[in-house]
Amino acid sequence: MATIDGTTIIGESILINGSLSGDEDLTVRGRVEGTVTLTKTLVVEPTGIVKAEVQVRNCVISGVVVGNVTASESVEITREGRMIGDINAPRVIIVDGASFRGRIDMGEVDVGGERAARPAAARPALTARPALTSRPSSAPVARPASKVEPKKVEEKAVPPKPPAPPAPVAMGAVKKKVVVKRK
Amino acid sequence: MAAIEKVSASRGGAQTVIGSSIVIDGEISGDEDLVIQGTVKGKISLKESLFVESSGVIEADIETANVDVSGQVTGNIAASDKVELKTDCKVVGDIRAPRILIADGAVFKGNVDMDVKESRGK
Amino acid sequence: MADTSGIIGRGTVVRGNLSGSGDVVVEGQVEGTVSLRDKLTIEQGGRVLADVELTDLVVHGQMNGDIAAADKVTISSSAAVVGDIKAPRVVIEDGARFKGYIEMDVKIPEDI
Repeated sequence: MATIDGTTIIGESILINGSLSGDEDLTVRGRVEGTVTLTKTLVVEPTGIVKAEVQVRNCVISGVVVGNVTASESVEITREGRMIGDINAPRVIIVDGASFRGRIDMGEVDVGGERAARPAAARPALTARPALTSRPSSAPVARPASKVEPKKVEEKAVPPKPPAPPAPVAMGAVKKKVVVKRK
Repeated sequence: MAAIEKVSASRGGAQTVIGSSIVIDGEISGDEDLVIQGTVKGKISLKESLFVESSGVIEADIETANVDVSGQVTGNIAASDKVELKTDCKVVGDIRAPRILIADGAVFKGNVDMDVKESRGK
Repeated sequence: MADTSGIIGRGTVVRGNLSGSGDVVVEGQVEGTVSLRDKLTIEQGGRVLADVELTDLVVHGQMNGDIAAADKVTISSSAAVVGDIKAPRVVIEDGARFKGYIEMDVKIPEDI
């Protein structure tokens, strides 16, 4: 049999609807819907469409993926790749020209500080998302009627003050060493 | 990610190969040849040829133009052209096709209907 | 390419609203809001804790905030970014650390 290195290929005109699992690389040139679970690499070629929950070691997307991708090693979206869904992987690469919409979670990301308080009006127009940086904040001490709430909600309640942002103590309290956390 | 293009050297220039560690539970359909070395449960519906290799295990009804079985099939097979059961294959299910070849050493249990176009039993 | 109109040096911390035209390079720290017409570059060692609105953003350092870019956001291999991004082009290099939401315009066939 002429399969090279146990690589499975789904040809362009093939449609698979269901759950697909295996211990080898999979290359999709056709269409797969449902779930894909591999211990190795999923490659979605430019003609490929995967509309599925994907759990793999590596994923390279040059076609269309609609669904969440969880990879134990890496996810790469190439120039022709288009994806809608969330990515959970320690390494994510998005090449210039790729299209992506969704969350990316690489695990703990240390940026050495919390976002500063800002007036609600100055917030750039974005699709409404729930509070992301839900790190426990030691800041509330300085604010009136302090509650332990996600930092974002607190800041909106504070009225805009002209020169300096309110409660500089807040920033000092959470000042951390500059640590860029690597994988 | 090497040599993906070379796989087409398999039978009939098939581009789609389901490798031996792959398990698919669902429906497969398409307009090209399909080679199965792994496991498929559900339903297979192709316009071209299906090759079930010796490591292939199919628990599904199959509808294609041609079927070439060297592995295991449990399910009914309907082919518009030909069904070939090779040595050491194991097929349990009904076969409907105008041409059927069963090789010496093939294991088969089921009904055979070679009269696809006309009404049955003539 | 716009002229570099501002460099916030390594030991400098700016708290407040940063706005204007021209490219800005941050080697220190900026907290508050940032609204630029051109490009913001956060160098390695630099940190921006603010929502930013600009044309281009290149991050080599750290950032915590939402990003709205008219052209392109680049998160380089030494960068760590937490926040939501809305931009037509986003590049994440191998080794970058990122957590958040990304919204680009994704064109996919109708039948998906």
